[in-house]
Formats: sequence, C-alpha cells, structure tokens
Amino acid sequence: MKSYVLSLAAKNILRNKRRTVLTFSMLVFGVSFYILLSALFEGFDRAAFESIINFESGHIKARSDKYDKDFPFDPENFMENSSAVMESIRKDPSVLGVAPRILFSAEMDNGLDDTPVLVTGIDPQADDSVFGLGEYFTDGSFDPTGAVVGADLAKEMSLYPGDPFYITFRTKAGAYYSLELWVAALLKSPDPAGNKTRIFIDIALASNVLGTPGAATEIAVKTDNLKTAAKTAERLRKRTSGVSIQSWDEMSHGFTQTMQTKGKMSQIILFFILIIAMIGIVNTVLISVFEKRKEIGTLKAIGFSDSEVRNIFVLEGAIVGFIGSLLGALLGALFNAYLSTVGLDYGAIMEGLGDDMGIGFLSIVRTTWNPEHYIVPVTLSTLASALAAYLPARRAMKMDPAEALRTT
Amino acid sequence: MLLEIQNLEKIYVAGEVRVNALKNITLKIKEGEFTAIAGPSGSGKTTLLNCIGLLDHPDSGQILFLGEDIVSKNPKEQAFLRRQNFGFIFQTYNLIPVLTVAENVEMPLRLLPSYEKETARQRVSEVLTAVGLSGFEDRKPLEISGGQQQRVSIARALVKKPKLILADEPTANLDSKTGESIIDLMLKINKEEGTTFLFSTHDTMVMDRAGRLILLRDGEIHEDSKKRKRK
Ligand SMILES: Nc1ncnc2c1ncn2[C@@H]1O[C@H](COP(=O)(O)OP(=O)(O)OP(=O)(O)O)[C@@H](O)[C@H]1O
Ligand SMILES: [Mg+2]
Repeated sequence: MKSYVLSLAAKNILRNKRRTVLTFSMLVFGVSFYILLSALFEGFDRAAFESIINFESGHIKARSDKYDKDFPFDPENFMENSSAVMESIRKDPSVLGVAPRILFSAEMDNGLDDTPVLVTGIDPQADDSVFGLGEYFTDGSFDPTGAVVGADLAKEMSLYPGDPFYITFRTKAGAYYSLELWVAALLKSPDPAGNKTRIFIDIALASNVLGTPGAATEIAVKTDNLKTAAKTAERLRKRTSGVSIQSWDEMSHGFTQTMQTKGKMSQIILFFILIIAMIGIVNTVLISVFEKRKEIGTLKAIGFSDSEVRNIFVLEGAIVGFIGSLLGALLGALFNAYLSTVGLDYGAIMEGLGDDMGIGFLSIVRTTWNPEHYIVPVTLSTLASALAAYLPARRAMKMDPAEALRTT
Repeated sequence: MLLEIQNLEKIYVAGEVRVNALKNITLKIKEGEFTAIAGPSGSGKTTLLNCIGLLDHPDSGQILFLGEDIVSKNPKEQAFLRRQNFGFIFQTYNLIPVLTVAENVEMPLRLLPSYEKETARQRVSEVLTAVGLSGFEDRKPLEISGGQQQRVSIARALVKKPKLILADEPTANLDSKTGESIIDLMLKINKEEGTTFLFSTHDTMVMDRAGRLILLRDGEIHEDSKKRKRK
C-alpha cells in the first residue's frame, strides 16, 4: 500500500511539466551552486593549508619558549642553542628534514626609496629539506652574499638581478645596522604576500649581523606523515628543553577559524536554498491539490483514507525535492569534476577586486571532493520538500469529498 | 436488508441561505435491487447518494448498512467500509488521467488487504472484458471516448465485487444510444453478479429500465414505485 501511494505520487509529478520544471530548476541551480561553493571553499582551505605548510610552518615548528607571538621579529625570540635543538630533533625516526630560520623585519633601501620588508635567513640545503621555497627562485640562484628578493618587491623598488641595495634593522643589542646586499635571484612563489614583502638571505650572515651567531628564531621540521605531526611534536617536546614545539594543526587555530566562517557562509546559503525550494514546493503542491479536487474526492470515494490522500501529496513534494536536488548534485559533480582537475583561476577573477578572502596564497584553486557536500543538501532538500508539502497536503486530506466531487 | 435509511435530513447552510436538501427520507434497499432515483434538478439526488456513500454527512437520521449504523463511524472506518463494500460511478467518469485504463480499474483492488498482483491482473482483464473494453488496457483515459471512459469507471466500481454500486447520473454526459448501452451493462452485471445498484438519472429511458423508481421532489420522496418491471 505504501509503495502504491508512492507510485501514485510519482505519476502526479509529470502532470504539470512547466511547474515541476520550475521547481526542479530552482533546486538544481541551488544545490549545484551550494556544492560548487562548498567544494571551492574547501579547495581554498586545502590549498592555503598546503601553502602554509609548504612555505611557512613546515609540519612542526620549534621556537624559543620565550617566543612572544605578538612581536614575532623581536630579537628576544632567538634560540641560542639552535644546533643542539636541531640535533635532538633529528634523532626522531619520523623526522625527515630540519631547517633553521631567522626572521626579522627591516627597511629596504635602493638609494632612492625605502620600504619595510620581512627578512628570512635560511640555510638553503636544510630549507629545501622542509620547504618547497627553492623551486620558486628564478632569474639567478641563492648566494650567501646576496639576497633572494620577492619578484613584486623587486619590481616596486626597480631592482633587477645583480643590483645592490641596503637593509637597515636593529641588532639584538639594540643598535641600528645597515647591510649591503645584492639581488641574487627573484622569488616568484604562489604566495602573493611573500612576493611583495619578503627577502631571503643566508642564515649565517643574518645571525652574525644580528649579533647572535648560530641562533635561529624558528626550527621547522618535516615529518614522514602530516597527519601524525601532532604525535611527533609530542615526542619532540620530550627530547628537547627550552623550546616550545607545535605541529601545524596546533599552530593553525586562527586559520581553522576562517575555515569555520566559510563553513557558516555555505550553511547560510544552503538555508536560503532550502527556503526558496520550500516556497516552490508549497506553491507546486498547493496548486496541485487545488487542481485535483475532483480526483481527491474520487480517491476518497474509492476508499483511500485521509492520511493516504495526504501522503500522496507529501510524497509528491518529497519526490520533487529528491529528484531536483539529485539532479543538482549531479550537475554540481559535473562542474566539480572540471574544477577539481583543471581548477579555477582565482587570481584572474579576484584581480582588481583587491580581495583575497583572507587566503593570501595561490591563484589556481582546485575544488575538493567531499561526499558530505552531496549527501547533506540532497537529504535536507528532500526533508524540507516533504515538510513544505505537508501543509497543502493536509488541505487535501481535510477536503470534504462531496464538495470536492461537485467541482467541475 | 442491505440498506435502511431512517428520517434522513440534510441542511446546507450557505451564508444566510439554508437549503433543506433532504427532508425526512426513509427507505429500504434490498440486496440485488436495481433502483433509480429521479427528480428535478436540485431535488436532492446527489445529496442522497453522497450521504449513503459516506461522502457527505447527514444532519440527522440513520443509515444502516447490513443492519449496522454507518453514519456514526469514524472517518477511517468509513473509508474502510467504502473500499470494501461500495463502488462509485460518476457523471463525469472521474478516471485518474495519469493512470492507464487497467491501472484505473485496478486501483480499488490495491486498497484491499487481500491484494495480489496476478489475481488482480486477471480480475481486471475479466471486468474489462465484461464492459467490452478488452484490448484497451494500456490506453490513457483521454485516449478513449466518453462512453468508453464510463465503461472503465463501471469496471472500476465493479472490480472488487462490492455489495452496492452508487451511480450519480451515469448516463448524463453520454448520447442516448451510448447511455442505453451503459444502463444495459449495469443491468447485466446486476443480473449476473447480483450487485445492488442505486443510481440517479434525469433520463426517462433509464428510469424505464429500473426495477424500482424513487422520485424525489424538494428533498422528499414523492413517489416510490416498486411495481415497474421492465427488461
Ligand atoms: N455545498 C452546498 N452548499 C449549499 N447548497 C447545496 C450544496 N450542495 C447542494 N446544495 C443544494 O442542495 C439541493 C440539493 O442538491 P443536489 O445536488 O443533491 O440536487 P440534485 O437532485 O442532484 O440536482 P441535479 O439534478 O442538478 O444534479 C440543491 O438546492 C442544491 O442547491
Ligand atoms: Mg446531482
């Protein structure tokens, strides 16, 4: 009997094609839009994570336990015992690479203009064992006497490979110091902020001029498994002293928050899609009930109970919701198949808008595949549609059969 | 006694206007009767049939079906009673347009707890043959003539072998020749299967075929003649 009511409901859907197509297209559009948006947001997040891990944090980062995150470039943040710490870290079997870095801020001067820059002292071999930065050095190569300059920064300062410039900064002792450098290579990384503000010099040179030879502000670690980095970090904490050690996921609280904000955004969009779909369904089923008064009377005469009559219309709404959102999911999957392989040139779209949605990195975004993005909207659309159909369906149920049969 | 109606009253209230559609109707219908209800427009024919079929609720009076008061039953029991014992034929056929002829006829069987696909299929083809529509199983209602649609609706009323078939002006939308063949079909079923028919009509030819004629006027029984006997 239940399957019979379902088949009657299904047959009704093809009845008014134009109206059904309208409700369908709203659902198809809404659900596929939601899917793309969710997949895109997740793609942004994943790519941003990868960028951060690949250029900034590594899997695990060790800093001085006096490290003050409000003054990340303060000389107080230097680890004097960095080589000893690196030695202990290397002993862990999960550790694949260890790279010391010194970060400090400076003024960059080309003789005409100056601009604030972020200076990073690196050990190029060690750095490559943790980060992927070296791949993006162009127009030259790393040199211990020169600097790799962000390509956009170099352009802004009218500097070309080989050109000399100065950086001015405070040493650990508090004195101002000017260092002459030259452009050894340019950095063209997928991180636009890095290209605009950063220069890279030799860590030995950096620690010497800062007055803290052999020190580092941070030690980045690459492990054999990104997912178990927190466990590895836990072990490293036991091996070392005087340093604070955090895995990428422990460090990325703020980042996870932007992720959640975007999650809320797609939830709100889903909510509006559902509301619009529900209005469509209420309308569709209401008209359907009105048009079928005589049939409703006939069904009741044949012996359909009130609740069976109601269920025909509730199911009609649910089927429209289910098929519509399923088509939407298929369309979304189709688009996603393209965007997850070819990707979306986010840089080209956002250029001129001056908006990077707090992501900062990357310009080609590849969307993700997440079953949740499909199951959630289809389930919710079906349930919301059944719910929306319930009220008009009750009108069908309450309809007086004698009255209904008198309608011409 | 199949049906006993006692002091049935039905008053419609539409705004200020009160219409006494049925006044103190008392009548009995025996099993196997072939009874026509006639009367001018507005005399209460449809109202009476709807009250008996539990599609409308009388304001007072009793309707006993096989000795049991059916008016006081709850809607669910009434729906159950309809699906087991009553068949309906309407002036406008009222077939479900999205279903095929066979699916329309099968519909009442699907509601029965005893439904079984193969027996149902056989029964549907049996009644479609009886109404002369074998071969039309897969047509949609809009693909056949009015007379054929009414035959389908008779088949639908007949398929579950109900005790009582209620028909409200079954021939009113048909030309007289087709109407006659419909009445002949109903008579044949009445004779062969013993199904009780109660139907309303305006048509004197149809009245002439009835074994019994009840004449309504202003909601009252004006005449009840069981004497008329014709083929
Ligand atoms: N829903 C209603 N509201 C108000 N009055 C109604 C309603 N239904 C029927 N009536 C009135 O009740 C009376 C009986 O109507 P009914 O339809 O039973 O007559 P009928 O004999 O079937 O007429 P016809 O031959 O035109 O079909 C009429 O006066 C009609 O106007
Ligand atoms: Mg009438």
